[in-house]
Amino acid sequence: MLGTAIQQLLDGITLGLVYVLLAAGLSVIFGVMNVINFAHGELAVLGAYLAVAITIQTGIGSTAFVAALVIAPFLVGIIGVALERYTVQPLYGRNPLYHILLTFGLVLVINDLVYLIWGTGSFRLPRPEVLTGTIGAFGLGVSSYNVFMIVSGTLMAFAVWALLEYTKYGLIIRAGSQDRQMVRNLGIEIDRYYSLVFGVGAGLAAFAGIILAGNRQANPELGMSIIIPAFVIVVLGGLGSFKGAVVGGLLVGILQESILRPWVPWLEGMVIFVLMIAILLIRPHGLFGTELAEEGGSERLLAGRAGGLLERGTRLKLGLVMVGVLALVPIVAGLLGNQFWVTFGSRVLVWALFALSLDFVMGYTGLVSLGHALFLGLGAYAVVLGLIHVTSSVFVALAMAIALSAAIAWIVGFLSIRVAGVYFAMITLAFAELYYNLLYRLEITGGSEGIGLIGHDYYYGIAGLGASLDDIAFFVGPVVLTGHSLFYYVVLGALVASYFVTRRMLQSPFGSVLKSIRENEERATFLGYNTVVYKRRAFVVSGAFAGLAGGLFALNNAFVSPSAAEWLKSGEVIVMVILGGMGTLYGPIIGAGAFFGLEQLLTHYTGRWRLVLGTIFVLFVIFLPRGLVSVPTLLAPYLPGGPGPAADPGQLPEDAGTEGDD
Amino acid sequence: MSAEPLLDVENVEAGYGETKVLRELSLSVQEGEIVSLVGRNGAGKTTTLRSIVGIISPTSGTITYRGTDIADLDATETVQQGLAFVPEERQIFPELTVKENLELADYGGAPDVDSFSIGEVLEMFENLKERASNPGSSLSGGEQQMLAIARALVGGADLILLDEPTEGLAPYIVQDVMDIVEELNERGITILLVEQNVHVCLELADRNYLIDQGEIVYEGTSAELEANEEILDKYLGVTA
Repeated sequence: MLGTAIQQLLDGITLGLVYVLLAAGLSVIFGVMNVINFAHGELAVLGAYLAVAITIQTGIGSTAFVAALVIAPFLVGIIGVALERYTVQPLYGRNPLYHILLTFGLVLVINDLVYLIWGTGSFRLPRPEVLTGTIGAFGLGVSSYNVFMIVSGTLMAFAVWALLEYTKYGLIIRAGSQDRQMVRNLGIEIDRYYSLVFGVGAGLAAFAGIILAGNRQANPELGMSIIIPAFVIVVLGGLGSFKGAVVGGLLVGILQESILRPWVPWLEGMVIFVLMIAILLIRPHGLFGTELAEEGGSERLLAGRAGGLLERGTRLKLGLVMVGVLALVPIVAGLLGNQFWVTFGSRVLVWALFALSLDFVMGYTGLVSLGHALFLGLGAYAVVLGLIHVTSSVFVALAMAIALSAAIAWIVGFLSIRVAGVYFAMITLAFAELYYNLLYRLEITGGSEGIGLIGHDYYYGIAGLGASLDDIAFFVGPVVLTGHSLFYYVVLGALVASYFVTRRMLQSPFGSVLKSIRENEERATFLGYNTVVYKRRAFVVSGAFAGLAGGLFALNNAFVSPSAAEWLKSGEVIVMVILGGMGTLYGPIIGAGAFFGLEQLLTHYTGRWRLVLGTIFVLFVIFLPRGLVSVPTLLAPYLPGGPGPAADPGQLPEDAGTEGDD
Repeated sequence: MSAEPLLDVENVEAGYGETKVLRELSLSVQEGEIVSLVGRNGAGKTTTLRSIVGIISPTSGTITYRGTDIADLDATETVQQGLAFVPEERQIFPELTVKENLELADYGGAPDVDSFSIGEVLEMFENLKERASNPGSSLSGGEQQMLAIARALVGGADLILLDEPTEGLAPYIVQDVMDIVEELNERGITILLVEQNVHVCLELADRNYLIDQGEIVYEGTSAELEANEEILDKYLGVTA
């Protein structure tokens, strides 16, 4: 018994140390540069794959293993330096949330590169013979590789600690994570150290990835699965605190491996998120973090201005044309006898609605929700479970989806809107992950299998009046519109209606307050508005529309699984909003179209289309942060016909100006 | 005062975003002087210092230091030229010890300017010596001010820009700070002092500039300013 307990504790410490190394890099990078690096997990994976490549090249054995352990982190370190210099650097001085977006793009790129180079299979790093046996002591057998991990992980953590504590670089980095501007005021060019910090962080992540890959099966998805716990640890311990990363890493490792997995597996994967939410609410800056002198606090998100870049009349005309074209899709598809465009179109429109809902809160109040898939998932499950257990009316089920999502949004908003910026992003992510893990555990949701609508009758109508879409048919010339084609119109109708409702809300006094919050929250407060209440209301509205999107999402597939609530979905919808242009409402709709259009186009040529998408997205974040909708305005001065007054590029100022306090 | 000034600010305009704070502001500081910039809250004093040191860049006008144009340099570069900025909030690193705060300043600063060693400044500021291994967050307001000045000395500076050094300090500590400023000046360091407390200026400064709404409205020696009750009353609401 005792033996097992000790073995479990050692497992916990081993994993904990891997987390420590990952979180230390993440945390210091955030502390010094205000960058939340989503690609950190991918750098760990890259390290593991490079290590395997090196051991295979040099012949498996102790020398090869040591060589891999030294060379691979070094190579990844160099990649880290390059990433900092060419992608992260152009964004300093912008709102730190752009770094989240940028590094999310890098995740897509690196992840697909790993797939492209090394394939989809899983592997385990070949260990030298010395490290394959067990070490016996006090009547216990301990795997010698575990001992190796604990020793090397501890040494590495100590090395980082000594570097931070006793060297010139360490002192500058520690000072930088407390007050960057003052370091500059002392005549130190701190920006020069950024690449180094990023490189060392990347190297550490690679080292962590390598030793982990010798312990368990690794595959290209490893990065996605370790990045979220690593974030939890950084937030728990305090952004920017090395001590916090160490304590948090060990805590989470032991909690997961030594307590939850063996004793209460049902709660595994959920407890850490509850812990993170609780800590953020009690101590928003984490266990060991201090309140940072936020230099990036006043920089705004580059959202559209005054309801978009188009004049109201133009917007309406273009919109009507677009809706007209979209309405023709099922008819043309019917004429061509190709139903693909109908199902594809429905999917795009559902996501367009989802993106619209995110834009309402992100583009108009500046709150970046990293967990918006929570509401998509809530709506989707509400509709499916509602149709199976409660009602057979789709309308009632959708109303349930909207009500449930709005209610949960109110709760999440109540708990998290008082924490600002990056912390808000993290806490929404935690709620979404909590729900995602819960979906796997619950019986009613069908666990990982998900749950389908096949075999259940439902109708479009209310109180028994209505019919299944398959029982209705419209004849347009030679084309019969029924079933999925009619569903397409349902989604299109929902999207258009949602657009008008949100647009109307933004024209109301409520909308004006939201915009003033986005422009300058402090001034809105000085005018006497309780901005927290307004932001929460906006979040509830957004959650409600996302729930509607989720309901339609489930109806479109007649099926739902936990993947509806995975964090990748939250990331993808942000990509769509940025791609199109946030803070415009129509931009995200265009963004959704561009996203799926690109996917269609690219999947013809390559299965790894996210690589291209990620690259395009990264370029957008750097060069075109206002999205596709800003293209005409940017081009206007170069086009013949003359720019109108609305197309004056002077209307697109870089509003990254810092606020003075003299 | 025919010699070329150490620092010369000519017709500088600066502000934050669309808000213009400084309008055609000009002032100059000769080597070895203590010059004060005095004015009400919001008159543009801190903005003037920030423009000189390069935390914000002026939209027009010139700033020359030892005859070279520094208007476009950022804060790091001006400090490397030999200007040191001691901000109003002192900005001590709270989690670094007193000694580490000084070591950091030693890594930065101006390479071509004679600087004090950490040992020398700890001799000058006895309180800091006693607290050398305490974290910055444990210092009192007066000690923080001393440490902020000490950092400037360790980095090396010919001209120190002091932003409201006596703000929020007890009267007897104000006297300490004033003594230190005089001592530094005797050792050859030029001082540009920003103050709301006109009495501090009158006692320390060789010359005073009075700033109001982003413009210099008066210039004179301390004796002249002290005698000019009309100006004192109009712009500062005090009688000397």
